[in-house]
Amino acid sequence: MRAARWLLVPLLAIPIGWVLFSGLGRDPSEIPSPLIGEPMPAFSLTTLDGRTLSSAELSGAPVVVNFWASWCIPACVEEHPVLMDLAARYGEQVLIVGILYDDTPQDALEFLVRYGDGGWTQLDDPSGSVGLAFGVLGPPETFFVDAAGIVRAKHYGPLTQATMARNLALIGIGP
Amino acid sequence: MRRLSRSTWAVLALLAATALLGLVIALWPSQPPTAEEQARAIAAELRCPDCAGLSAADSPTQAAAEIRRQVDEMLADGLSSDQIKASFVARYGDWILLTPPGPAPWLIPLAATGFGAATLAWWLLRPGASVGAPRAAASSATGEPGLPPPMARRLAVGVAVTLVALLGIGFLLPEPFSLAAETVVNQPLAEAQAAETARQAEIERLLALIAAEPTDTALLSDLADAYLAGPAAEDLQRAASVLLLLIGLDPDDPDPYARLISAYIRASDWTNAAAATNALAELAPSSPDVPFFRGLIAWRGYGDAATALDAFDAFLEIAPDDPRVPMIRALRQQAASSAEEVP
Repeated sequence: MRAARWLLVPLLAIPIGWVLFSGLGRDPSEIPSPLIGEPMPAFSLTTLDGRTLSSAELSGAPVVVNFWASWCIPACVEEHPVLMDLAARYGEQVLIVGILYDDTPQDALEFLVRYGDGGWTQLDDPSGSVGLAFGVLGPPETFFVDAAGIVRAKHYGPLTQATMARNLALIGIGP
Repeated sequence: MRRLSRSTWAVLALLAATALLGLVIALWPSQPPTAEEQARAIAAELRCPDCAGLSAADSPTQAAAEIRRQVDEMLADGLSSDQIKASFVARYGDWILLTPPGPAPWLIPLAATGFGAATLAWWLLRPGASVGAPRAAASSATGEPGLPPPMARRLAVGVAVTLVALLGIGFLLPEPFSLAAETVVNQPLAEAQAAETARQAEIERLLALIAAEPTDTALLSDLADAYLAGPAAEDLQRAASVLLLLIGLDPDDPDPYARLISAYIRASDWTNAAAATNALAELAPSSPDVPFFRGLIAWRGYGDAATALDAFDAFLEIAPDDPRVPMIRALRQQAASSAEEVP
């Protein structure tokens, strides 16, 4: 009876400990996106220079879709040079699309004046419906879509050169 | 069989009456919910994507408003509550549901309570329990007064341990089962606050250095940048004074002018912005900044489409490869369409 009781302790402690500690290694901000492996949501929005762009025009090439806002400071400011670098280095191979998240075109243009405009397409999403279709929690968030139009990766928070390179490799772009 | 006392009968009758009343309330025929009530009920079960622990029904953000609009639209299209929720799960995953799906949220506390009750029962009912542990027997043998009998003490300890274990497990469980799940840190806000603290520290550091070296243009330039990164109107004013100081130290350097003019523009001080642009035009007549700011001031500040169009065209001619070209194209288009409206 006494021996059975001592056997009970590891029998209980090990599974409870496993449940509790398995949560520690996870990043609480990493919520897996159900869009991975699915086609990119379709949209049709107006660019900041007044053209209409539909997602159908993006097919055939890998696309990096970046949700951002001028009020998203410092995260969107931090990742801006990484996107500028992407445009400079791989601008021929990949389409970059910026989509405003809860922002006005005026403020967005001012941001681009201050931090530099890499010349990629910037889209206004005045109702927020496209952000919702992509399951955006808050800017910055970046989706990596392959040439077949399938979402291959989603990055939460500001991009760094390392995360950018890792995600670009998933859509067939790299040195 | 013992006869029940009068007070026991009274308690039993009260319990039965309460149960009956609950049943009547639960089964009372109610009005079918209106579309509005239905929409609110669905939005209340969806998490607002960009705020801390609020439902889409209770949050003022744009994303929450768009969720409410889409719920209304889907209800009007005849979709069921489950279909509507599924369409949001397809974009955000189960995270979007405030109550996680499946039996887990109900099963875990039930299983934990059952396990605690079973352990307690086993402990209390095992042979020898009523006799008491040797130590309790020893202390009662010495006749110490005030010690509760071993059975009651075991019961109290058992209940306390079970409660603490339940709470502990509830809080430490990973999301979305954790009791602590609602306490979400507002990450963008925390980052903005951290950045503001860092900026203030940088300003303190630069001010200390400048006190020792009052004419160091590099330090003053950094100080101006630190002020320009600030959110408040007084930051812009301070940035403007520092930049004016820099211009005073080296009147032939056009570099501080662009920052000075943007500070004035951001503060909507169009008069000073125009004056500074004129000063820059004398100093560096061929700089693309001159038509850039002239156009911006004319259009944004004074709504003068004709002057703005001239300036924008001049800018596009001088600097066709400038990174600001797309912005100026957009502004030019606005100015051009407004010029057409008022011939």
